[in-house]
Amino acid sequence: MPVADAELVGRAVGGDGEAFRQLVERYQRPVYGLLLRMVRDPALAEDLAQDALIKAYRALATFDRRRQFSSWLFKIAHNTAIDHLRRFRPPSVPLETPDDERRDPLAVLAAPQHESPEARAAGGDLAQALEAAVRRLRPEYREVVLLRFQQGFSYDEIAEILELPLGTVKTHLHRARKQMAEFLAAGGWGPEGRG
Amino acid sequence: MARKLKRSVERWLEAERRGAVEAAEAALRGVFRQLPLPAPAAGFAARVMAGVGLARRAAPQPALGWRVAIGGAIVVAAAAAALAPAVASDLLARLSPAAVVGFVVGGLVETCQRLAEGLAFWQIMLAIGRALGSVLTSPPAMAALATALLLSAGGVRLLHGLMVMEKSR
Repeated sequence: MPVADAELVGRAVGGDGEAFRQLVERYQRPVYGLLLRMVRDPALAEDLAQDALIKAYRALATFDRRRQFSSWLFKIAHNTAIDHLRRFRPPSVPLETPDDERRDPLAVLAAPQHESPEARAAGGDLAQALEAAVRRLRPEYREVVLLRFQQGFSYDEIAEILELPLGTVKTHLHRARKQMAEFLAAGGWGPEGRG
Repeated sequence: MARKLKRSVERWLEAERRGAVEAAEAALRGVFRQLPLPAPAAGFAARVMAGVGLARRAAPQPALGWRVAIGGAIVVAAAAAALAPAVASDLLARLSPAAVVGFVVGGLVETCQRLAEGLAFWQIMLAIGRALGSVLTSPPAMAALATALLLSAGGVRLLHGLMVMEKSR
């Protein structure tokens, strides 16, 4: 039976390095997966995931164990990604860049024009089409979709992680779902589509 | 896998069309469950642990004394291995047939000498025994021995009587 996060946190705060290693091994994939879908650069996603986990370790003593560790960790991961992208955002943005990408630093790295030719060529596959639909979402929508459907967080937890009002989270999720459905339908996927 | 994913996507899109929010969310969660979750490169956890100063330590090194002892043992073993061919050839040279016969004969002579020395000792002891026997078997010596035996038996009997009397008081 796996040891609860809170217990591992307690042991790690007490100096048990092995307990922290278990937490890292438990969350490395979800954190990396989220960051990779946010920034779409494996090396950068790995660096950010590593930074986030190191920050989490250093702040572990301040973590309130009555809260959920995963929400706390994902909040750190989210802030790490935003901080990095703000700091390393290219100084000039071309005029033809869509408004969304100018507003949000995440969009600079996550925009569809960075897609490789191989990824574009594989677009006929449904899984690829879904990934593409997620990529085409506005960055703030993309993140709530990943937190909700990939990581399984509740609305409240997403609101806490992203520091957004609950109503905004619900609105983002609703619009994100609608947009994804439209993207897929436009690509010919759906009950009457390809098969 | 692809068919299952397609069915999940169709369920989700159908729920969206109907405006069934909960069903759409559940179906979309099912869709995401089927998408592969990428993993970081091998050794990621070790790099994080090193980043927080908790890198797994290497196996502990033996103490200096042990290291010196182990080093000395290795040197001795190496020297022994180097000398082994020379020692072996020397031993083989010594193990000629003549040397073997000489060793066996020398051993036999030594054994016989020790036996002869033992025999002389027992001959002396035998002479002493015979002299004592001839004296003791004479009639006066036999009478003196018998008298001494009777006196000692009388003394033991007297001593026993005195101890019984002492206990009964």
